[in-house]
Amino acid sequence: MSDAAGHAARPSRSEPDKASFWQDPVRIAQLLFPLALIALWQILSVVLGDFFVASPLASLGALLEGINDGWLGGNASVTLIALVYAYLLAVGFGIVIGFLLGLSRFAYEVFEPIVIALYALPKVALYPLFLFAFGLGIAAQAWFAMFFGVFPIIIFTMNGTRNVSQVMFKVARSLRLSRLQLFRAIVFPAILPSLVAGLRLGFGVTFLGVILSQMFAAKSGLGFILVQSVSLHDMPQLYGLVALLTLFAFLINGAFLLWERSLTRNRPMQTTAF
Amino acid sequence: MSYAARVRLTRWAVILAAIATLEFMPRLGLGDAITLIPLSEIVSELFELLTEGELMPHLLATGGAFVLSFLLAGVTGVPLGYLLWRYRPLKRTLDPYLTTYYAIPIFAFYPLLLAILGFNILPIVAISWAWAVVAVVLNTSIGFGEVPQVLIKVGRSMNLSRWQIISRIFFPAAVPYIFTGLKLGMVYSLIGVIASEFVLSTQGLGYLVSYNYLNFRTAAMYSAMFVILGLAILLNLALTRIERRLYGHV
Amino acid sequence: MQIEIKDVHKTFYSKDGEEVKAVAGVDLTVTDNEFVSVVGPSGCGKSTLLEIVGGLTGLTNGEVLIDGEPISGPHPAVGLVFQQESAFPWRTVLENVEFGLEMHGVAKGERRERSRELIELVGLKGFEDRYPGELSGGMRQRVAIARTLVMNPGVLLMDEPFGALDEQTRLILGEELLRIWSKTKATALFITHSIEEAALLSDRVLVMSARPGSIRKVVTVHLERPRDSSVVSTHEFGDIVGEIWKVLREESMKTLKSQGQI
Repeated sequence: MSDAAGHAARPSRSEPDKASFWQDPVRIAQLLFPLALIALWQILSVVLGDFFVASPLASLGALLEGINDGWLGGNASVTLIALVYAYLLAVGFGIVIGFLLGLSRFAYEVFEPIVIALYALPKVALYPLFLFAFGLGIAAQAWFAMFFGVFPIIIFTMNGTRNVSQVMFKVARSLRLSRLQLFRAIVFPAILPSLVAGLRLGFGVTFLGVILSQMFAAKSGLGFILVQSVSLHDMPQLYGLVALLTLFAFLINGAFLLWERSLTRNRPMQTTAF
Repeated sequence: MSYAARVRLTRWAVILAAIATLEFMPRLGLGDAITLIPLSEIVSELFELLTEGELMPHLLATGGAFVLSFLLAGVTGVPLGYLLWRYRPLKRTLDPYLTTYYAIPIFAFYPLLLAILGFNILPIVAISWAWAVVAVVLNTSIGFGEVPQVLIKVGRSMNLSRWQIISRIFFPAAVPYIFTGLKLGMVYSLIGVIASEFVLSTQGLGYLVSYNYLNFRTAAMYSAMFVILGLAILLNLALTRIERRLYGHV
Repeated sequence: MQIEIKDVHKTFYSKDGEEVKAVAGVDLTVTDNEFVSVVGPSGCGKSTLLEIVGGLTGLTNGEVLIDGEPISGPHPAVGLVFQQESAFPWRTVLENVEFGLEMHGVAKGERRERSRELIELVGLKGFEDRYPGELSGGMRQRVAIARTLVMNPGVLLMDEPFGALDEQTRLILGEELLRIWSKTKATALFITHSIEEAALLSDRVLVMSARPGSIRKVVTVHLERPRDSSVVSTHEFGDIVGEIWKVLREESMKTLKSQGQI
């Protein structure tokens, strides 16, 4: 059935057709893009020589060697531990602060410019403060990276909460829902898509924060190894690490994107950019 | 008192309270005496640095790298954004990668650029450009896409030439978005410059922070931090002001 | 069920502390199974009045009684339908309709059955598993109506439920609303800015004055029921519309003048 006045319903949830997937040149180009990057990398390594550019194979070899020697596993686990702590802190603080700021219009208008300004500041230069407060080590790295990553989560949670349509609250009240029901059945599902977008961006920035902090005054971690490879001019190791970090961030971000899509698939009115 | 005034007053109270905490915490003996220094002492140290001329070369180095990387990001980003909007398949192909761009720790490429380009301003400009340019590209292409079709129809109905439609309707309509992109680009290139100077370099304000930290010159370190934060805040305020003046009526 | 609105006043304060009189002295009794519409110039306080009856907004003076009992907050037997999109985009049509029953602990089998009946009644059979985002605006509003009706309300309050739709859709959905309403036996209070819609649906049409809102005129609609939208072409219908518009025009002019628009 369609609406009496000819407002046709949108077509049902369309799964991408397998045959047309391969006929769409854009899809193929999307798949080929990473391969093109690797090809470009290979060409540059030949043209510029391995003093400047280590070949993809050499870089992969350096990583495999790192696994065998144990330095890769050891340093990667330092980075991962700092990342997990930092991200848990950023998520916890970000959701709570963002939710509270989003609930009150007054609090939102007072703090929103401050939050945006803090997000835009070059916070790297404040890292020594974290070293003073938490000493050299994982704690300082985690708190610093949290300080990096918490802002996108605050901003997205805050805006998501603010954007819950007023009429939803009216529906809840006219149905005499309890506060818990209001939160669980209406506010939470309404916020979820922007929350996940915030979690995704927050993860990227937190990861950056961990790598950055380990580049400065650290004795272990992938950031530290990166800087060390520069001073040793170990090009295969350097290129291998950069590729590894990029791939890791790309995959995690992809997983978040899939989660986001599954939530917004049926909500054409809500989309997130960036 | 009007609501807007109440909001502004509360905001300033919050900011002043934060500054007061920085001043009085160390004075009251809260926090380590060596690591936390009252704000007033930092400010007087700052004046010393300024008058002795120690700060100037670093300020210039940071400023130079910042201006250069931002200009490059603008000059390359806007045309790239236009191309991306103009060629739909290109945009569709790159979309998933562009959405992922800021999730990647771009900064990990800085050591790589250092190894290729050497310890000078080039890798700093390159990484800051890379950090900034994608924001410009994305917002420019969104801006062109958001130009209402009806405006183009208005131009056509008045028999304007193709060039008139582009220069008098199309660009002005997209400019607020392009401006947003440039604003983000400016913020990102400053962050990029400070980060690279801080982590590994031989000059600039970021370097001044790390140098003073590593040499236990705490007051000098704080004053360098203050210069950085002050510049960044001024930059943000100026951009917000300009944006409001240009597009406050939109 | 019967709604009695007795000398209701509502004054609120804007965020800058200005006093705004939204409703000033409304008296109205809607009898059992009656359909009453309220029309009025924009900003006259008609939505505020509805929210007061729905228990969503407190009143400054006067009282509202449902079946002789004064209300304090949302009454269990009162159902509300809003103008804004209120179908939950994260729930399917069926899940939307059974929402209220689910929240009030009705067992799954029973709520499924009742929801399916309502979905059929509002003409959405076959769309149970679709999401609101996949439906047209008119269909989404049917979802919202079914979600309210499934609670079996004795009083149905509707705030411009078809306000966002075009004129044709509005008339045809209005006709369907009459069909659905005749089966529910609910007492209906309906807010609209469309005179035709009000005349088509109602037993009585109230015209509200410019802000602060009070009742300027009551027009009784003596058209036979069951009606359908073809009555709009009759002389009687034209007369009723004309009678409403005469008063409404004056009040709308006052509003526009006070806003400096004319």
